[in-house]
Amino acid sequence: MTTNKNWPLRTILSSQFLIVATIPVILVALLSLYLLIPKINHSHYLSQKALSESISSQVTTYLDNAASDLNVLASFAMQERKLFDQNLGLLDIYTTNQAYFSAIYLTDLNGIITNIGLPSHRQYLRSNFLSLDVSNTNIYMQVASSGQAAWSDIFLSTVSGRLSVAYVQPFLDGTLVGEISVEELPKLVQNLAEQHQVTVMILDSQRQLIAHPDAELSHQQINLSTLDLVKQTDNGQSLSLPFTFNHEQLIGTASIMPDINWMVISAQNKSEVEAEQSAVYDILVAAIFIGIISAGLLAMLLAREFIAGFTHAALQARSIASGDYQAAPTQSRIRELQWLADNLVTTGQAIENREHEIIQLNSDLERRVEERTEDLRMSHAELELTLNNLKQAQEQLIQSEKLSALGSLVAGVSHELNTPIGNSLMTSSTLTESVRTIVKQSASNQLTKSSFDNFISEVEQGSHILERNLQRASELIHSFKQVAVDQSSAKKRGFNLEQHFSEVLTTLHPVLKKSPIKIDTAIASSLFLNSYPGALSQIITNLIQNALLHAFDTSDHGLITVTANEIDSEQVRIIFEDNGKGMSKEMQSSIFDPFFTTKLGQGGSGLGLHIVHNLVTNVLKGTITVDSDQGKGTRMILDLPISI
Amino acid sequence: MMLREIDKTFKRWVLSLGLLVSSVFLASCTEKEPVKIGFIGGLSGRVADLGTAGRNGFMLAIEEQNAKGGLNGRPIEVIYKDDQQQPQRAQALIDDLLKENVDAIIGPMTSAMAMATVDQINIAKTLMMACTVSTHQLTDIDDSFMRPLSDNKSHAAKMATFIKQYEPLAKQAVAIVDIGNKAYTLDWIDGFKQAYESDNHSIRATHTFISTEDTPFARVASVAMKIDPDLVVLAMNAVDATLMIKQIRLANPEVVIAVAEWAGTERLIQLGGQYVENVYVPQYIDRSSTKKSYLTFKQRFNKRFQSAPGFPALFCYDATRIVLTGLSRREAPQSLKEILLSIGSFEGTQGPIRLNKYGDGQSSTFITRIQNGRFVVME
Repeated sequence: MTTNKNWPLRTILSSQFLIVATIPVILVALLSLYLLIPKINHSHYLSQKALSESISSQVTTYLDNAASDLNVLASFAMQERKLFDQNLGLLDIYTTNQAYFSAIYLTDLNGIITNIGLPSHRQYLRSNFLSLDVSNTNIYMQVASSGQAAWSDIFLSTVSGRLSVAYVQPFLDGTLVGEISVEELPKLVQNLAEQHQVTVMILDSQRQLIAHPDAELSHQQINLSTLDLVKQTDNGQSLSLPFTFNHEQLIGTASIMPDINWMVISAQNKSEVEAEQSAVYDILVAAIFIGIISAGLLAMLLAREFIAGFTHAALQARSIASGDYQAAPTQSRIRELQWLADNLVTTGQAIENREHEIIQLNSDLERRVEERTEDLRMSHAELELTLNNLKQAQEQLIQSEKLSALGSLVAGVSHELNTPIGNSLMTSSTLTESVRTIVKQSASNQLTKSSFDNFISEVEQGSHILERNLQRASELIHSFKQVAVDQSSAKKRGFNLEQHFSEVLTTLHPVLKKSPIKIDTAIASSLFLNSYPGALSQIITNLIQNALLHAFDTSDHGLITVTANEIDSEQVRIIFEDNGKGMSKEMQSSIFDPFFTTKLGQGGSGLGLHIVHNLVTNVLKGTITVDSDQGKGTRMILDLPISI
Repeated sequence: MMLREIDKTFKRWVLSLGLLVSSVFLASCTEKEPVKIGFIGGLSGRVADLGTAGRNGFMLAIEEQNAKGGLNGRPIEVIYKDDQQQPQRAQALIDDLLKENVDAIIGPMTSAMAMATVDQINIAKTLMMACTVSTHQLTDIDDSFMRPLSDNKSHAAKMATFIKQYEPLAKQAVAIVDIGNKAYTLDWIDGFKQAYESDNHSIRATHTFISTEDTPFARVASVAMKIDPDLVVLAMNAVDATLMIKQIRLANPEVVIAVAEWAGTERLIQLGGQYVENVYVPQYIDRSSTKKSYLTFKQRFNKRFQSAPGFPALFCYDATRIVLTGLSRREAPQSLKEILLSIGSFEGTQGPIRLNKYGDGQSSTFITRIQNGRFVVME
């Protein structure tokens, strides 16, 4: 398994699909937020602006018409002053018949009303208003100071009892004033509100509300100068702003009427405007959800298909792994999955074919191994036969070696006995001669004292020589006998090691005597072994003969030292050491092998040390090791059990 | 397993989306419940100057408080009602305000409206702080009605005493009274009469009318002037008073004219012109005051409404501030009335306003005479 964190296909597909689905929606949302919604807002602003401007112009036109009406009247009256004579009642008629004015009156230069025209139903109240002093009112003061015809601010008319605006123009020494009730304006904006679903508000120059779809509010002279929209518009800006009025959240635009400096606000319910925005938001949210859900569904469907494909492929691979190569390929509409499945089938078949080949090869191999094994077995048998032959040959050789050893022993014995026996013969023949001489002399009586004494001395000396040589021969025979007995009987018995050495060395005496090599022994006298003395004799003989034969060059005056010591209560160690030329390591590793000899053809059989090894290990149950180095002599170390 | 993982991821998304939505929702919901205050007054019609001026004073006080962050962090929401000086309409509007569960009502502006609605607010135990209602009929009653000024009887008496002192020849008087607001006007005339009628001074006739736009003021005045009085006493609003005074002056330019405080607004001078010169008007306020609190108020009011504040604006401003003080200090079990009575003394625009145990203020009277288009304080 890989250590990297891995995710299920479903999760990966879902998240990637979601990202793909979400990014365009987010982009659209951003575009809407920064382009579409400002555009919607701007179009609201434009339509509101257009509406407020159209209302402005309607109102302006209305007032302009009223003003020009009054101007016409004034110019008539200028030409024919009698027209304004109270008794003619022309002002009443005019006021009653025209569309605009609720009252038209003349003032003198002090601001006293001198004549007033009222609509017919209010004419009985004329005396209430005649002679009123309007000089303190704002409208009058405005015209009086400028001398120009002008529209007044909104005021609560004493004459009509209504909120009114007056057109005031200088006339002769005083002024001609036409009052227009603004009650028509609320009706106008009410109609607009119904037609356009907008709230239109008209403010006078002091920014008091004079027209609102709710007629009641139109009469309350509510001062709206603190509204941001009003302030900003008065500052010369044209913009759309939200505001709250009469518990309503509105968004509006305002425009100012020239000349009379009124303001028209065209506003829409904020929630309605926002409804459009929220429709956009709703669409976006819906798009996001649809995107997410369809991405999710699509991802799930695709994931299901992929997972089915992959799972089948995995199962297919697993059955191939478990040896079932015949799994049917799945059918997928995804070309790559189909390809994968088909390839798995191909893979299975390929593996199957290769497996067959391997099985074939395997059985071939087994057959070949059997053949080889048979060959080997045969050669093994041959070898065994050869080995047996060799062993037989070896035994024969050993036998012949033994015979040869016996031969040389006999030769040695003969040689050894030859001297004392020869000496004895020569002495006895000398004595015999002396006896004959004496006998002759005695017989001849020529025996003299001196010759007798001489004879006695000769006999005495001859007896001594005889005795000594016979003693020597006897000793030799005893030794030979002992060796022979030990070698042949191969009996286990107790013996003193030092004495045994001494006896064996005696038998070797003839050989040693001819040799410049000396033997030193240092055997602990207290060592008693319960073992096979015959085998040991042969070992000693072989080792010393071996040393004499191989360790030294002919001219050497070497030394062989034999030491024996107790190792512990169980074992003794016997060391044969020479100061000869030693041997190489290769040679050391082979000296105990049978038929190994450096003197082949010079009398060596190659079996001496092999016999030693056999005797030490097989008969005496001990060990023998060699320690040597070229030019530094050789040590043969025997560790033997004291008792077997 | 995989499905559960998807499920988890989805749940996490839904959860975070939900959190976002709910946090936005909560944020919009944490705005505090507003304090609701109703205003009632005659805001339309030919004599709406009293009501609109009072409304402007109220509006200024509320706007100032909201600009300071409202009442203890709660914004103040206002509901305006226009009684059009019609008692039945006023009663319906008070019902509306009570249904809206307003914390207090500022207004009404006239005694007639107060008399029409006082029972409703007493039953509902909703505090009504009137601005300029000075009828004696509501004096010293332990109820939910309060006002920052004292009743008009003392004012009328002071006026009478003053006339007797400064116009010794004015012994035969005629009274013209708008009985549309008789709770005020008759009280006032009564108070005037009590102080006036001695030492051969008498009110020989009292003429009454009901103020409408169709009232033939000229005729009423002409009838009153037939007995050629030395003094004409008017108890009516400013607009009616100007029409009446014009007619009186045309009949007799020399006659002494005194009007009740009700007419003492700027409109009297505006519409009266030359005819209102030398008319005596008792005033609740001293327009020549140099008190800092008054000058500040005057300047703010002027800036806001491009006009000078009269007594209706000033009293409504003060009345509103008293109520706001009470609301800001009220704690749960206490009623607004209790807290106002326990505070007792309030900072007024023209000096401290002290409420007695019945919730009536003690206001002073300044006798003025109109000279050159101005109220000039005589005493």
